[in-house]
Amino acid sequence: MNSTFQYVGKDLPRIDAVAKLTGDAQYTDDLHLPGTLVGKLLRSPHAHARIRGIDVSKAEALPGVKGVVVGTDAPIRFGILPAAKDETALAIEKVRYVGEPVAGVAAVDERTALQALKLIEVDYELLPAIFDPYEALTREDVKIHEGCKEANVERRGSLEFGQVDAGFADADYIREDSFFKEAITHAPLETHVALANYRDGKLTLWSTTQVPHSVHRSISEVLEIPMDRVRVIKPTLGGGFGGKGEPFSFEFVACMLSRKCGRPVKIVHTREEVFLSHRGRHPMHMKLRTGVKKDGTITAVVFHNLLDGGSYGSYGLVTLYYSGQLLTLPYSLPAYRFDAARVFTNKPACGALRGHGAVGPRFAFEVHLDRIAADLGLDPLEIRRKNALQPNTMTLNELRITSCGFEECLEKASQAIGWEERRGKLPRGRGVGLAGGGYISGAGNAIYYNPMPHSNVNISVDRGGGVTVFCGASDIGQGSDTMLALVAGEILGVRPDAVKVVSADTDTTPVDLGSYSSRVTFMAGNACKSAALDVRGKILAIVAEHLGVAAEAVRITDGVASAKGCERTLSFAQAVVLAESKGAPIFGSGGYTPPKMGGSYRGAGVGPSPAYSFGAHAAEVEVDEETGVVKVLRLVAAHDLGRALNPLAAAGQVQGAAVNGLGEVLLESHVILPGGQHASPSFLEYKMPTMLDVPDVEPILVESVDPEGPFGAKECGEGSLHPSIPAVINAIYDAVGIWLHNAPITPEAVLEALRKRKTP
Amino acid sequence: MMPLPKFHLERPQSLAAALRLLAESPDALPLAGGTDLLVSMKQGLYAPGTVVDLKKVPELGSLEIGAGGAFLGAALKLAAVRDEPALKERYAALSEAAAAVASPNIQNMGTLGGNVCLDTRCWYFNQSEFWRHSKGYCLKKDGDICQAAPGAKRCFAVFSSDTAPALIALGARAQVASWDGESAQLREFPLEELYREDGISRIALGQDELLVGLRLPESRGVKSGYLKYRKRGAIDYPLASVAVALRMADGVMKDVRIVLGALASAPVIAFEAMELLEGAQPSPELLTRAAELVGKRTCPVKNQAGTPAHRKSIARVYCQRLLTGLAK
Amino acid sequence: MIIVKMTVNGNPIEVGVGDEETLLETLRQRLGLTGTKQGCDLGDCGSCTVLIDGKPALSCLTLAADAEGREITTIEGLAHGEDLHPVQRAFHEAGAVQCGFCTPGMVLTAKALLDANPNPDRDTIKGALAGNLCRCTGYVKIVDAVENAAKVYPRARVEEAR
Repeated sequence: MNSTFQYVGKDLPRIDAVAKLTGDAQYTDDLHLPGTLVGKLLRSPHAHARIRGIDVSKAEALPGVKGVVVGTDAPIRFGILPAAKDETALAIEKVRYVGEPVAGVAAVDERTALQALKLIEVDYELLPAIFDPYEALTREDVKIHEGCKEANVERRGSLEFGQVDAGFADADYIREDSFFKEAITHAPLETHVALANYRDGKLTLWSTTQVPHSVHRSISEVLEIPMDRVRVIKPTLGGGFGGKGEPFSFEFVACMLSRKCGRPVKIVHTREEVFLSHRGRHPMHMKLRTGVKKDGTITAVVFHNLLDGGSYGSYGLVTLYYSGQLLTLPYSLPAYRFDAARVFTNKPACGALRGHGAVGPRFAFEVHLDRIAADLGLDPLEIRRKNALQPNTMTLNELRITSCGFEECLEKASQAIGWEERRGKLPRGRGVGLAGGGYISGAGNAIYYNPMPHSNVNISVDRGGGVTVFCGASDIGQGSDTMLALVAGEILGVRPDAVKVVSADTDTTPVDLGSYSSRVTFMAGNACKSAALDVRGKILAIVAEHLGVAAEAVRITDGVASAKGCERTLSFAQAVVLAESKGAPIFGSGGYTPPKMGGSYRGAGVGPSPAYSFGAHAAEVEVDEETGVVKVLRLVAAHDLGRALNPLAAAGQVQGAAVNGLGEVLLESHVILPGGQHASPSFLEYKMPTMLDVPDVEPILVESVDPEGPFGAKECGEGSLHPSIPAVINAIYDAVGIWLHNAPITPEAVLEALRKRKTP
Repeated sequence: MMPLPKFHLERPQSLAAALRLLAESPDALPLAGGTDLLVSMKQGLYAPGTVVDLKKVPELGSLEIGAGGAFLGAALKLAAVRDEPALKERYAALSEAAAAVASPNIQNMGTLGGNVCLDTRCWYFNQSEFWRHSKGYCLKKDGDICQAAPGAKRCFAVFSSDTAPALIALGARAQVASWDGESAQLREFPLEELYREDGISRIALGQDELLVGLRLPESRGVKSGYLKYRKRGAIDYPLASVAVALRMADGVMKDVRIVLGALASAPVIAFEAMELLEGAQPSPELLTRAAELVGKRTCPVKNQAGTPAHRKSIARVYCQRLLTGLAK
Repeated sequence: MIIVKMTVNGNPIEVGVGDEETLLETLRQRLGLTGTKQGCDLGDCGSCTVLIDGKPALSCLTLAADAEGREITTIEGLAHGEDLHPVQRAFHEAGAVQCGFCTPGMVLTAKALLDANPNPDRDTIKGALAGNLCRCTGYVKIVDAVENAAKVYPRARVEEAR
C-alpha cells in the first residue's frame, strides 16, 4: 500500500534522538546567559484568602536580592481561553488555592532567593474554602470567583439531539449507572522552566511551553509590550502532555523580574511546584442512562457530568463541552441529551491532559456498555460492532466522520487477545476485556477566533541542497519535528534525516497554534506538505526546463531529479542552484485552515475536527482475590491513525498513551487534602507507573487513510489512551465478576466489591 | 532545585574519629548512603550544623560470612547485600528485603545500616517546608499535634525499613559503638531492642553512638522469606511487609520468627503466632490461624497510601503465603 | 569549600565545591555538563543518574565531596567521538527516545547493567531500570533497545576494551 511513497510508512528514528542521547540537546534549564539571576515564586499557604497587604521591604533589603514583584505590577488578566481570562501573573486580591503564586523574587543565587521569600510578609484574611464540587454547586455564601452568577458554577452546558424521550420509550431495556473518574496530573519528567531576558526594549523568553504562540500573545498583552518586541522560544522540551499547554505565572514573572532587574532571570520549578501548577485531568462525577433494543442497538443516551474545575478556568469550558460532544464517538447514537456543569473549587486548576475531555466519559460509557451487554447476555464485542460508527457519516451532533477504521480496530484487538477462545473461559482470577474510543485530530476552531491558518510552514532550500523547514509547531517529545522532516522529505524527494527543522521560535517560525488537541500531525503536516509542494513546483519547473521535458514527467528520488525517457539526471542541489540562478532563493510556504464544520447550536464549536481517530483496546488481567491487587498481563492497543507516517514513532505514541491510561486506571490519583494541600506532591507519592507495573503494550496500527490528512494520517498520541481504562475494568469483570465504577481502582475497592458479591 | 541547607562536612577516617565528632557536636548527624537523610534535609526536616560522613570509616564496611554466622558492616551497600550469593542461600529474607528497597540505583547508594536506622515516615512529615507550613506542623517536627491522629499524645510515623524485619526474623544482633571520651566501646544486643514504638524517638542510639554492624547467627537450615506490599514494583516504601524465618525438623516447625514491617513505628514481632506454630506440624488450618493472629498485632493509622485496614489484611495474607512456602 | 579531584568522562578534574553541594549541582553548574537532568531532586525519578566507578548513582543525592577519587561517567562521556555507544545506538534505532529527559539516566543505567550482565532477559532489564521513570514511551521501546544492545554487546565490549 505504501509502495508509492519513498519515506512515508517506513521507520524513521527521530531527527533529534542523537542530540538527546549524547547530552547535546539543550533544554530550557540547560541554557545559561551571563549574569542570570535566580527567580523564585512565593506561593500561598492558604486555599482561600483575601490579600490585605504584601510587604516586600525586608526581602528587597536582603543583600543579593535584585528585585521583587507582586501582582499589582502586572494586573492585566490572562487565560488560555478568551472567555475565561481569570488569572493574573501573581495573585492580587485573593488567593484561591494552596500554591498560588503571590510574589516573585530575583536574586544572585538560589539560597538567597529562597531566603528572600521567607522575608516577604503577606497579610491574609482567611476565607472559607470549598473542596467538594457538590458543595461548590450550592454555596452561594462563598464565591471563589465573584463573577459567578450561580454559586460557584463557572458554566453549565447542555446539548440535546434527536428524540430522547421517544428513544427511551422505544427501548427494550434501560440501564442507569454512576461513575467517578479521579484527577491525574501530567507528570512530565522535565519541570517547568523559563529564562527571560529583557534588553533594549525587547524581551526574549525561552520557556517550556507547548504553545509558544499563546504565550507570545499573552506576554505581550499582560506586560504591555508589542508582540513584535517579544520573542518566545521553546527549546528542547522534556514532555508536556498538556501540562505546559497554556501561559503560566512563572513565565510572566520571569519576564517581569528581568525587565525590573535589567538582567536575565531564570525560574526553575521544583517537582512540587509542578504538582501545584497542575492543569491536569478534571475529576468527573458522571451519570449515564442508556436505552437499547434486545439486540443491543442503542436507542437513546442521557449523560450528566459534574466537572471539578479547581480554582481557575484554564481549558475548562472546552473540557466541559468535549466531555459531552465526544461521547457520540465511536458509536452511533440516535438520540442524546447532555447536561453538565463545571464548578470552581479551592484546588489547583484543572485543564487539558492527554486525551482531554473524553477520558472520563469514555471510561464510564464503555463500562456502562459492558454492563448492558452483560444484562442482556450479549457479547461485548457484538454490542460494539452493532453500534459502531461508519465512515463518511455525520453523528447526530453534526461531527463529520470521514475515514473510520473502528470496526477494524475491534476485530484486530479482539483477535489479538484471543477474544473468542478466552472470554469467560479463563481460570477464575483471569479475564479479558474490551473497549473502544474515538478522538479528534485537532480542533476545527482556533482557541481565539481569527480567519488565519491554524498552522503555517516556510521551507527554504540552500545552495547545497539543504532543506530547512520553519514551523511554529512545538515538539514536546511527541516527535513533531521529525514528522515535519518526513513530510518535507517525502514531497521533495530528499532523505528526511537530512532535512533540518527550525521550530517554535516566534521570531523565525510562522505561527502554528501549538501542541494540544492532537492537532500537529494533521495540521502542521498538511501545512508542511503544502509548503513543500510550493518548493517542489518551483524546482520541477527548472528541472523540466533544463532536461527539456514536461514538469509532470520529473521525479525526485533520494535527492536525484530524473524524468522518464531522459538519460540525464540532476542532483537536488544542482537543481536548486539552477533555480536560484533565476534571481532569488528557493522558498516555499504553506498553511492549513480546517474546513468549515459543525452545527450552529450553543456548544457546537467544540468537537468538530477535520478527522477523527478511532481505537479499540483489549486487556487481559489477573486479580488477586486475597489482596485485591490487579495486574494487567497484556494490553493490545489497536488504533486507527489514518496512515502511519512513521510506524516507529506512531507505535511509541500508542504505547505511551496506553500506559498513561494504565497508570490512570491502576495507580494514579491527584488528590487535594482537606485544607487544600496536595496529597502527593512528589514522584515518590504520586504513583506514576514504573517499568514493573505495566505490560509491554502491543500496538496495532490500523490505516483507514483519511482523505484530508497528510498522506492520509490522523492523530495517534491521545485517542490511544482512552480505551485502556475501561478495557481493564471490563476485564476485571470477566476475571472475578465485579464491576468497578470508580477509577483509579484500588485493591481496597476490589476486595470490597468481592465481599459484596459474595454476600448480596 | 531544592538546595541542601548549609552544613560543615566532616569525613572521619576511623570509627573513633567519627564517634568523637558526633560526641563533640550536639548538632551533628551521621550520613551513610544519603538516600534518606539528604532527602529530608532538602525538605528542611533536618539542618545539622555538621554532617559526619561515614563512607571512609573502615570499621563499618566489613562483610564476614562463615560457618558460625555472619557479620555485616553497617556501611555495606544494599546492592552488595542483595547480590552476595552466600547471603541469598542462607539468609534469603535479608537478600529479598535488600532487593525490595526503593529501586536498584538507590540500592547502589543506600547502606544496610542506613536502612536499619531509617527515619520513620508519615504523610504529614515527609513534605517540603512549604507544605508543612501550609498544613500546620506536626509533633515530629516543629508542631504540637499529630496531623494523622489529632488528639494523640504520640507520633505514629511509620518505620518503613525493609531489611530490619528480615534481620529480626533471622535473629540478628546489633553491634553498636559508643564514645566513652577516649575510645569506641562496642556492645551487642538483639536488633529488636534498637527500636522504640515512638515515631519521634525511633531508635535507642545516643548522639555519640553508631550502629557498627549486624551479626547473624548460624543459619542451621533456617528457611526465610520477605514479602513487601507497595503500590508500585519499585521506588515505593513498604505499606506493609512480613518477614518469616523457621526451620523444619522431623515434620514440625522450629525457631519460628515472624516480624511485620511498616505497620507501626517499630518492627512488630508476632509473638502469639510464633508461639502457636512453634513445635507444631504445619497444616493449612494452623497456618491460617497463625496469620490471623499476626493481623491482630498492629493498628496502623491513616498516614501512608492505602487504608490501614487493608495494610493489616495484607500482613495476614503475606504471612500465610510465606508460611505456606517455607513450612514444607 | 572542598577541593575535589575526580575523573569525569575520562578527564582528571579538580574542582572546588561547597560542603553542601550535590554532584548534580557540580556537574550542571560548575562543569557545564547539562546532559545530566534534574527531574525531581529527591531521588525518586532517576533522571540525574550518573555512573560512579561504573555503577549507577543518583547525582541529586550524592555529595560532590564524595566524588573524590572516583570515576564519574555522564551521558556526555559515552560516545567515542562520532561513534555512539551500543546502548545509545540501540536507543536511537528502537525509537526509545521521545522527549529525551529520562534518556541519559536510562542509557547510563542500561550500560551499567550490560557491563555487569551482557545477556539479561526482559524481566532482568525491567528490574534494573525500574527506578528510572519515563512518561512518554510506555517503556516498551526502552526495554527493546536494551535487548537489542545486548545482542551486539559482547562484541562491542571487546572492541571497547581494545
